[in-house]
Amino acid sequence: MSESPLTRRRFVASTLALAGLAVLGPAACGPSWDRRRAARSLAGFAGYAEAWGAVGQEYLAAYPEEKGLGSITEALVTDLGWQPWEPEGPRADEPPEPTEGPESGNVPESGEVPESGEVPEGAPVSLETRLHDRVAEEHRTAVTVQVESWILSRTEARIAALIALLGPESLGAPAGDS
Amino acid sequence: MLLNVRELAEGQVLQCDLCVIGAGAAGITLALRLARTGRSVVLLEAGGDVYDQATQKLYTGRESGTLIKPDSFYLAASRTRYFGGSTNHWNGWCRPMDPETFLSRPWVHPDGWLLKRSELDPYYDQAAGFAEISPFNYKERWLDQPNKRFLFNPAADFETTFFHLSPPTRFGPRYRGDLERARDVRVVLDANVTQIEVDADARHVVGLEVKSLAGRSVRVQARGYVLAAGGIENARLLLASNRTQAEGLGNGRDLVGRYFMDHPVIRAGFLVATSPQRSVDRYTAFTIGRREHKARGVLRPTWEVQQRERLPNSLVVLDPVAPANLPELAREISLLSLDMTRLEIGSEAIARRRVEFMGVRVVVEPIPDPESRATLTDELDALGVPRLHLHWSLSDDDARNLRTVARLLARELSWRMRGRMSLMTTDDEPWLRAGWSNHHAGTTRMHADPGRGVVDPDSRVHGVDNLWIAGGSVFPVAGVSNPTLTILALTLRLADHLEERLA
Repeated sequence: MSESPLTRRRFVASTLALAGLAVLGPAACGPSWDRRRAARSLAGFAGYAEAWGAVGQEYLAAYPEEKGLGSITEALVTDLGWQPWEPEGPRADEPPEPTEGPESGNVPESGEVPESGEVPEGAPVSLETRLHDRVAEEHRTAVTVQVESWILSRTEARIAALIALLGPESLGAPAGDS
Repeated sequence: MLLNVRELAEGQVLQCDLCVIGAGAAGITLALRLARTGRSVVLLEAGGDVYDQATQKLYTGRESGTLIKPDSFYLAASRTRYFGGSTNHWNGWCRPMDPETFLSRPWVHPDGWLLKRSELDPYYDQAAGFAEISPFNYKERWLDQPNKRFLFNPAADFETTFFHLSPPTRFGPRYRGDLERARDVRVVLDANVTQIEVDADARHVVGLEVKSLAGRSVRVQARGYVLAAGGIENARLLLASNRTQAEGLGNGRDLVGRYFMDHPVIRAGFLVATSPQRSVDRYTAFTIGRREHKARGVLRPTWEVQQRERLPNSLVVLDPVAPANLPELAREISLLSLDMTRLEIGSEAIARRRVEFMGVRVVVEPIPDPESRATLTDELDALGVPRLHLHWSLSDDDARNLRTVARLLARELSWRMRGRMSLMTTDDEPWLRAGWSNHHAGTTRMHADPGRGVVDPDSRVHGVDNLWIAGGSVFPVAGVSNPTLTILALTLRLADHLEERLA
């Protein structure tokens, strides 16, 4: 069967599909994945899920266009450069592997915040590290939103929205006392 | 010796080496300093020993501008007209001006100060004694010590710096005894100067016309005169002394009264901080030294940040805040912030973090504006002196600067995972929640060029050979520190100059 000629309709459809891929980024380019499961992974670090949920409710009220669980999840996956179908690196607060040098494994006691941990090239980066680095960078570069009067990074506001949409009670007990 | 005009004969003439007009922080300091040199000094105080409403009302006038409105009572209430001057309602916050204030900063005003900070440093040390605070350590060695207890370290965009807190010293009662004992000082109360009298070409002051509200008139004749009546009244007296020079004494270039400045302050919002130790105390008050002097920390953008952002100087004052006054979501945001910080420092360390809420006030150095000015009105006060119209406008740049500082603080706090900030100001209503600081400055600004300043680098009025000015009115730019300590330092510097001139 000979190839059909490139009609105008097919050209437009192809262009839109490409544009869609560009918008969805890595999330759309990888293998199929479960958005709800990814959303739960994204929200999994939240120790104080109720508090996040309350912030998320306010965010969704102020930004109703963000209300889709799938679309927020995809936006986060894209922004974080995370591939939900691949294994995660170590969690951010897991003890690091012993390395040489006097400072290995130290947790800072003062108000000093150390530079983000260097990750060997090619090593998987944990979702939590990605999240932390992304939020810090968004604050640094003013990619922020205001929820009530509070300034939050766009990513942390979206995480809050995600938790509100998932239902904070579904995410388990808090990590510590409030 | 302490006198009252009513004890003098009608028309009596007081003669002395130096007459100081105004017994506030500057006037009292100058009189005490010169008393040690054997010069005879008459120190005139417009009010009495205590607050008196009729005397205070001599200050009232018309007001307009961004923050002050016709019913603001700014002229009437932002200063006090009795012995001790405005130290009678002073909070006691003392801090030298930052070194960059003395530089030319084109984004603030092309004119910096004519002095260097290092020229004032020895006088700041002496001034600290008058204000009853510890001498400042100009290397700010404290920064090396309790740094852990502060939110920001010197490497960050904001640094913690300090105010010393005077008891506060009420200069009237505190130095009354010293003045009474000073053999060559006569303090005259209820002595309102209504005219600075000059020779025919307005180049030399020949005497002062002095009146009391009870109707007594006397005169003062001196070799030199110092106006130390406050940042607004200094200009009023020059403008009102217009019998010889119609536009006002020293006002040949239409500069007297212009460039009025005060420090706008805005309640910018709240912050929640997660820190390893309690920080808020360091930003409210803490004790230093063996003599238990008080100090408190404030934040300010570093000089590097000011240059990068083209910002004037500014201070962030942190206040304790009651839970009932916290904005919506404060608790939730604090927990969110803890979760985010945990990603960085781990669960074990986060358990040792404290959550603290603080109110955030931002004080910003105003941009000098010649249209912010004091002018005479047609209305006369009870002594026949024209009342003032004070217009103080703040520009879009001033508003932008306040918001920029608040946003930079929010950014700094958040990206370093110290906490989060709520910002209560809006672009639409930038001056909502804003107020003033009662720091009057600029109306007789200092500049070597008579076309750009009212007084010369020695604080002498251009073109008048025996009239000097002390006080915040000589500040060409206001900086951001509360002005009293700098007023005292400049006054002590002036005292050295006068000692030489009156020798």
